[in-house]
Amino acid sequence: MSQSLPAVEIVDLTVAYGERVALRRLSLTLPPAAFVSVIGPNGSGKSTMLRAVAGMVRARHGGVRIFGQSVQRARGRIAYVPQREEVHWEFPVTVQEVAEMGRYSRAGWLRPLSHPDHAAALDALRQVGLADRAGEQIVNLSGGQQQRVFIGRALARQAGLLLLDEPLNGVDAASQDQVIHLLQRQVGQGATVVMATHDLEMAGHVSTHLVFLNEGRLVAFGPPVEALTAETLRRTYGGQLLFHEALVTHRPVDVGAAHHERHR
Amino acid sequence: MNAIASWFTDPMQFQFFRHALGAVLIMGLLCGALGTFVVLRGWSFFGDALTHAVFPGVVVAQIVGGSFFAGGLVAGLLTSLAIGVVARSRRVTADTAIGVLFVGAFSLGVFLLSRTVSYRQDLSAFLFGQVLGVSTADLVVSTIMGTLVIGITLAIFKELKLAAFDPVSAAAMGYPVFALDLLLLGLLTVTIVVALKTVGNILVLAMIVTPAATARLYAERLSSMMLFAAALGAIEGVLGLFLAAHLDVPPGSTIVLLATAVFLAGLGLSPRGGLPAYLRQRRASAAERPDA
Repeated sequence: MSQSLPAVEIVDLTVAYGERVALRRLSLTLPPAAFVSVIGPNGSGKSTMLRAVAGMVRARHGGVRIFGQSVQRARGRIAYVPQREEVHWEFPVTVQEVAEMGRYSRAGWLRPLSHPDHAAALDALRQVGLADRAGEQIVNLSGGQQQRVFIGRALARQAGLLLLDEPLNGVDAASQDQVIHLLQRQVGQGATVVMATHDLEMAGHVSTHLVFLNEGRLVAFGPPVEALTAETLRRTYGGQLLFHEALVTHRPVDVGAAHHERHR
Repeated sequence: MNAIASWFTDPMQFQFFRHALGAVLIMGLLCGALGTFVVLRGWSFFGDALTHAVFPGVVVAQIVGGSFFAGGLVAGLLTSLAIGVVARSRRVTADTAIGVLFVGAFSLGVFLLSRTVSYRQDLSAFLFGQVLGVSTADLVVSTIMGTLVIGITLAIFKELKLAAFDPVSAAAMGYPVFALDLLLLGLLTVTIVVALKTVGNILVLAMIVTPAATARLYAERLSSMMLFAAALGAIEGVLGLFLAAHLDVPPGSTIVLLATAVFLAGLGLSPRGGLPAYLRQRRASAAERPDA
């Protein structure tokens, strides 16, 4: 693969839904084999950024290149894991069928899946440790397992770029670790992972790069040691984040005293 | 044994009954298959609305002596398009647009029909179906349309499955999710027009929703749910028609009543939600209580 090209290149990107501007003049370059966490309050543009990279929303200005290609041409190299609420979990499909969906675009329209497609899906399930659940309905799995099936689907797609919209939401701590471990393994094999998350602490520990967004604007971008500062947090979330600033300063937090200070 | 055989063979000596049997068979298969998507997508209201939307079309076709099928299709597609346009306004949600336009279309149908001479008789045929008046031509058109609908559905089955289960990922993979939805609605409109002659405007929704809802209780895959729903629709249609012939009651309502009874029985016996699950739970909670 063309490892020298950036995995994602966002240039002066502006996206709007009607009159509401969701992203303002965003420019970012993500190298290959990066683990990128996108951080910001609700409505800051995290999902919009992922959707723009996946080519699901139209840019009002600027654009996105994936591995040096247009999003349309690079589509086969992108895998997307949506927010949990956007999936109809009650739908009657088996775990194996969900993994096979990663092969649909390879098979193409009007063509059934081939034997190699079925095998690739099962192999992907093996990689996420769920091959023994292949025949079960997706609804019977736990939240963490469902998330792993979706990562399996991305693996079956053999994508070099994984986009995940809050994959750790509604998933217990042990499963979060498993999901992160899986993603790290993909990064180790050369894939680029971009995930939106609210978990600052986790993001700071596992990411190679952090993207901070607020009201559609880029606040900070870089490796955690550079980007994760008290100043960045203040500009991202507005006001003070006592507990989270402690992540940066490593000083104990006395919330009572701080409140006392503020109310005086 | 002979009595059972003649229960089935006796009505068959009439050509109008054989035609009706064919019509009911096609209707049941189609409604069950397409109803699967209606039930899974939560489109019951949309389906109900579509049945109303095709009404002015079939009335106009009747008045000008045009094709029943063409009239219904054109009206259904036009109204669906209108919904799409009206729902683009920020102050009108999609369900409001549906509520306004589809019932408006239905009233237009009644209004137009009331200008004709044979108003009452025609209205009743439209509302409750006239399966015993199915002509050979009707049967041929129904078969062609039914084959087309099933053929298209099977051809894009995996894409329909993905777009229904996980529309966001489908869009990310580059599938035209909105166009697929429109196509599905188009197929549903054809299904409704085909079924209209058999069970009528009021009852067609039941044939779309009920067999699929019954299949949903048991099926673990979309493909098996669709097969089961289509088979159920066809069997219920055929049995209902025979029952109606022997009891001398209207076929449309008999078929729907039978389907409803099967659904209720299915719900009661369903391994996940019905009586067995209830008994299992009771036994489990009884075992947990120390004094029990």
